[in-house]
Amino acid sequence: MSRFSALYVEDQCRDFPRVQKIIKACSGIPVISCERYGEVFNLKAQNFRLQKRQPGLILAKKHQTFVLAAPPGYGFGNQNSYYFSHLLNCPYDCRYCFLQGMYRSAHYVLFVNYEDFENEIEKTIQSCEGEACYFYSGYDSDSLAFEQYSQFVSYFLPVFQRHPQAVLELRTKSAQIRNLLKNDPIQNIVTAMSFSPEAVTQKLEHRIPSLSKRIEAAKKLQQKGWPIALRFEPLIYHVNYKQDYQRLFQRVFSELDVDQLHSVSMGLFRMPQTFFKNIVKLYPDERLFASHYTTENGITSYPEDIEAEMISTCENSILEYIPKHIYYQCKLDCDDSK
Amino acid sequence: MHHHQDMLNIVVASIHEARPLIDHYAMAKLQGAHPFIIYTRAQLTLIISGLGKINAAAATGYLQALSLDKGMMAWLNLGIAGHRTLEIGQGFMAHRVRDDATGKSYYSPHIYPFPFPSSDLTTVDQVEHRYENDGGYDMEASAYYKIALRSSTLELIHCYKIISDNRQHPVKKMTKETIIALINNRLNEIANILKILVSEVEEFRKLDRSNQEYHEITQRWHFTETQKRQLNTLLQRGSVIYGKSFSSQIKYSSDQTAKTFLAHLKQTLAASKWIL
Ligand code: SF4
Repeated sequence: MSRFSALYVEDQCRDFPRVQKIIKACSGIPVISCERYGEVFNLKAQNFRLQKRQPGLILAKKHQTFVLAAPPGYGFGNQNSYYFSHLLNCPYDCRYCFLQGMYRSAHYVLFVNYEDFENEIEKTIQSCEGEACYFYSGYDSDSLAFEQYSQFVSYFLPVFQRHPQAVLELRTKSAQIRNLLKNDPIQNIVTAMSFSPEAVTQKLEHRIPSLSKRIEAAKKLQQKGWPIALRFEPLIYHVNYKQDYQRLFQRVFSELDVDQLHSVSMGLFRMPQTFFKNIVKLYPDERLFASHYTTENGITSYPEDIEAEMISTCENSILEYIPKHIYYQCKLDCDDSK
Repeated sequence: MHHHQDMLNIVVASIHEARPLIDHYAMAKLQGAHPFIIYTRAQLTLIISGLGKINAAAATGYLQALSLDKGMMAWLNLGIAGHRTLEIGQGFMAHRVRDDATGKSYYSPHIYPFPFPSSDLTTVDQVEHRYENDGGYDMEASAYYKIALRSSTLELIHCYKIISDNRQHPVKKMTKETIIALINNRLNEIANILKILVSEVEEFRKLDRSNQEYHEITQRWHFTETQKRQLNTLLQRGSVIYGKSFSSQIKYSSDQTAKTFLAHLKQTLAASKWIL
């Protein structure tokens, strides 16, 4: 039985071999035609929380804006930083995730015309004229969680293998590393794994694999020679945060080979106020949002003193384990909070 | 009139399609002057719309107006329909309702484990004899969706149809008895849908509990509309943070105004611990 409640398939991509394969892999659920994915996904009168219980998968063709400039302060790259979204929404359910506030629908949208993404990525790489450039996937989703269906990694590994100066970040909370392990490591493909203290995961990161499983996956990749990055974003403030983050760092860094880490970053909880308000409306019963946040220039965040305290405490703590040059703070004006 | 326990509005084209439900749930006719015949019982309200899109839209709108201040409602459009392939007597949930005239479609998500098939449904203006599309045909659903969506959310708006004719056995004039029998045979399925939708609305409304203190506080001082919204948010946050003991945390004093009261309440909440 498939993990989706239904498949919605745009008429224009129904015959794509990639689509046919997914339809076959999802037998037993309704396959529903639609003209454009927006008919299903963008309708206003939908409730993300209700849909999140059992979302469907929409298979669609993207027509434009395949590659976008990454917002300033995002990631570890230089000014040649880009992101692309072949997938919208994610199978996990982190209560702080901005996607809940951004989209009306919890259905997943997979854009299946990978070839067009590839063309645009190639063009962007060429426009950088040999300079290093950085591509972030998993901005509007989790890069690996749907690998079983999307085969996204299998498709894009060779693309980036051809361009060693172009770094691809796969951002994930999953342990779906089979397709990576099947291949020899590629040094410009970085798997960035996000971790939170177990208390945070238990309360706020629903449906994600256990910490042990994910550390295990990171270890396996590292042992095989794949570059691994660690993301502690967003830092979640709570009464025991000092001990909880200390314990997390201790555990993660004792299990992974620090010398082999590509980078380590931390980021604060920030979100456009409109998204924040939407999420509070969906989850008025959620303790996370009942505390005292501040909003400035349309961005909701922890009060400044809390932010300052938390970042300095966690930085001090993390720098006991890692050299400074692999650490950076993600300073997005509007954190993607994921 | 409508009560707060009202949770599910049911739109049915004809009295024959409605009869089995009215009998099964012992529904009573709603008294008073109404442009449509309406039956109610406990959480259910059923309206007989008449055939076709205009009637369906008007009846849906009328029920909507009656239930606007009751909080979130679930909706069900129920009746008989033609279908290209499914067997006569089979019930199905519409997973895509397409208006034949405008091409506009509605897609109710499959979040409930209904143990029967789902299918496309095309809403047509004239009785369908050709069964060209693989799916069902009716004459009301798209109009019902269009209107119900104005006050509810897609997940709570559904359309369940029972096949009365198909390509092998095309439309013919149906007797009252045949229609009643078709619906009666699927009463268990229908009861199951009603139960699921009602409990869904119950859950939904629990989230929307208006705070007990709200009324009392807004009586004490004059609050502007913006201040009322702020108050509501603060009270909601307070009850999430402190639970039942919240009301004892609220301090009133006679020298306060709405503004200072809000400021004080805000301060109290800001001082609360950050707990996951
Ligand atoms: S934060 Fe990341 S893993 Fe969590 S729900 Fe959002 S996209 Fe998925």
